[in-house]
Amino acid sequence: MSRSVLSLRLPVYLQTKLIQNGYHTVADFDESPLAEDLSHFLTQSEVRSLASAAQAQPPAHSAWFIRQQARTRSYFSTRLRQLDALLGGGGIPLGCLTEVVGEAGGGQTELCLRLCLAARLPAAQGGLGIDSVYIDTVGSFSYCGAVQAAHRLCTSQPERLTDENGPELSSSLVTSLLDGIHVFRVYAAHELMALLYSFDQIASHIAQVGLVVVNTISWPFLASFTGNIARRQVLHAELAHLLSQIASKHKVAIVLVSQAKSAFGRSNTPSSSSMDGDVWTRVAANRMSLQRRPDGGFKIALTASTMHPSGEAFINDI
Amino acid sequence: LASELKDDDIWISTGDREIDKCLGGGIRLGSMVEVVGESASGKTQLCIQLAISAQLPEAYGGLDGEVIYISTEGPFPVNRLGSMVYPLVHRVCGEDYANSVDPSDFMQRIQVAEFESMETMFHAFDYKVPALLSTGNVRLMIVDSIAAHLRFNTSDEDIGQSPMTFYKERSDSLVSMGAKFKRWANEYNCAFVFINQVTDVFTGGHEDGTRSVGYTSRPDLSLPGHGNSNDSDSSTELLSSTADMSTEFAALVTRKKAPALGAVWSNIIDTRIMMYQRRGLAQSEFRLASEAQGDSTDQATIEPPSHLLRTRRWIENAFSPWAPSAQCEVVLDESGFQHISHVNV
Repeated sequence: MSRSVLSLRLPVYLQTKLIQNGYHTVADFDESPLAEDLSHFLTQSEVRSLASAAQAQPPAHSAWFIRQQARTRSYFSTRLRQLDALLGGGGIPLGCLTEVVGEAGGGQTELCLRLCLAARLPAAQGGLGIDSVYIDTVGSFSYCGAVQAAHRLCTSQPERLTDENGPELSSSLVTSLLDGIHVFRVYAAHELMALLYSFDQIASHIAQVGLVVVNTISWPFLASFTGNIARRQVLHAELAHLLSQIASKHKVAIVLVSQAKSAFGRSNTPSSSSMDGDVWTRVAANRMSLQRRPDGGFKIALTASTMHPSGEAFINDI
Repeated sequence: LASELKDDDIWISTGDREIDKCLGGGIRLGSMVEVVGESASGKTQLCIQLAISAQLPEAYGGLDGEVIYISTEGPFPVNRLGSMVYPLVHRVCGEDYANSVDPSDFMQRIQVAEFESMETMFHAFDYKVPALLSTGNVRLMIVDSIAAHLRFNTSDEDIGQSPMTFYKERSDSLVSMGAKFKRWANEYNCAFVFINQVTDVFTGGHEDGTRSVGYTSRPDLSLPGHGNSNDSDSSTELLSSTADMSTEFAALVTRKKAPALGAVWSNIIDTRIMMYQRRGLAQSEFRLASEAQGDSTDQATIEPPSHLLRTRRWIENAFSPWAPSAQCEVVLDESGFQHISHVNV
């Protein structure tokens, strides 16, 4: 009994292509005379990934092995004492997903910039010297915002991160911090998916990438499939799976900002649940919610985590 | 690379440096900005000011660009526009330049479209607006207001609709409009400004004092970003010019108003500018007035006599990805809005 095409670890669109062309099981295309037929509707790289997927067995690891992996996991500090404390003292873990649920104007962009910059800091200051990929789906990224975030990061530390003694950040320091952020602007869901499916290529071009931030993950699906919740959810599930794979394969931290759900009719309740439901939480190691407070600070809460107990903290400035 | 995007930070000045600073530089190209406030708070006036300012040469904070003005609430205030051109240009660029330009040039570079219904407006968004934008000269598009046709169910055949269906359809319309605008903002290198109305909110606040931005009543609100933080942001310098602002603002927003169109819309915009006004008196003005009368009682506990009250206005940057929250007190005159600062005696 040959394996069904649907059971292979392949992108859904590839499975669809195979089935549409009459290939339902692995036996259908393993035979060499048929192999040339595949190149009629598949690219070279798709044929290669097909071959490797057909031979791969789903991995099973011992719990011990997984614990060893967890022990060797890298973290980078967010440089916000309370946030690091919420996350168990280490900061943001690489190789895992973190979801941040936020509302309009809640400070998500500031947090994303802060994480990109903090990850870039050298190890002596709690960072990992890694580059970040900032996927902007809503138009939130701006150079001036990033510069301000860099200033806030450097001037809020007990030990000065500036290289002169004055409060002025040297522009070369700012540039070197910002040079680690690679910004990708996407508008629609299919663009986001295509970008993430080609992450292998991105990772080979950007040598030191260690952090991927998606701000926001909810908007492109909402915009591309307005009113079609069912379709959105199907794609969400596929993307969640893809993101898990990217995180563990490339040992990158993936931070997803999702839009908070607004309770219809009760406009006062701050929501820490995402409009996407729990699709990201299911694959995320940590889920946080971020809210701006009326007196100017922020409330950040760890609402769900596989690694730490829940908690919340109040921060003055991100 | 982030540092390569430095040149993407292009701003349209409001015509006043302090207001620009409050907003992070003015109105940023490629952004979706909302201007919200109660009736007669000056939203249209601010947009007219922006429409003129965007046309000025770059040396004066403009972008030498054209403007699209979509008007949905009543006739376009063309007389106000006409009367603002010379005073504003005079204030921003000086007398010589103001005398050298013809106000009708400014009026010609603003394309006005008036829509009485939602359907005609959406049709224009699909056809007419992209056509205008594709000339490449438009730097600013103003929609006055986005709320007018979307707040209530005005078409006859939908009267029997349930509220849920109405809100759902509205959300869908807002989302698809928002997605279109975001693309255009980037593709055609222009800024979008939307005027929104406020709606009443009847429910109470949260126990822990947090709020959903712009979407709840705020009975215990003190100034955002004010006072207790130790950071040296320029925004707190802006605020601390008068210590009296916190109590006045808190009283202002207890009137429980929130921007219309809900959270869906709040998530589509990048920046929210709120406009407030209130009858009152700055502490410094009251102090001066009471000293003049030889009255040395504590001003903090005494309500100023009503004949001294005047209408005070503020422009607030409620949230923005590229600037911290800040407020700026302003006055409105024939040249539009400009900032006002009270000297502490």
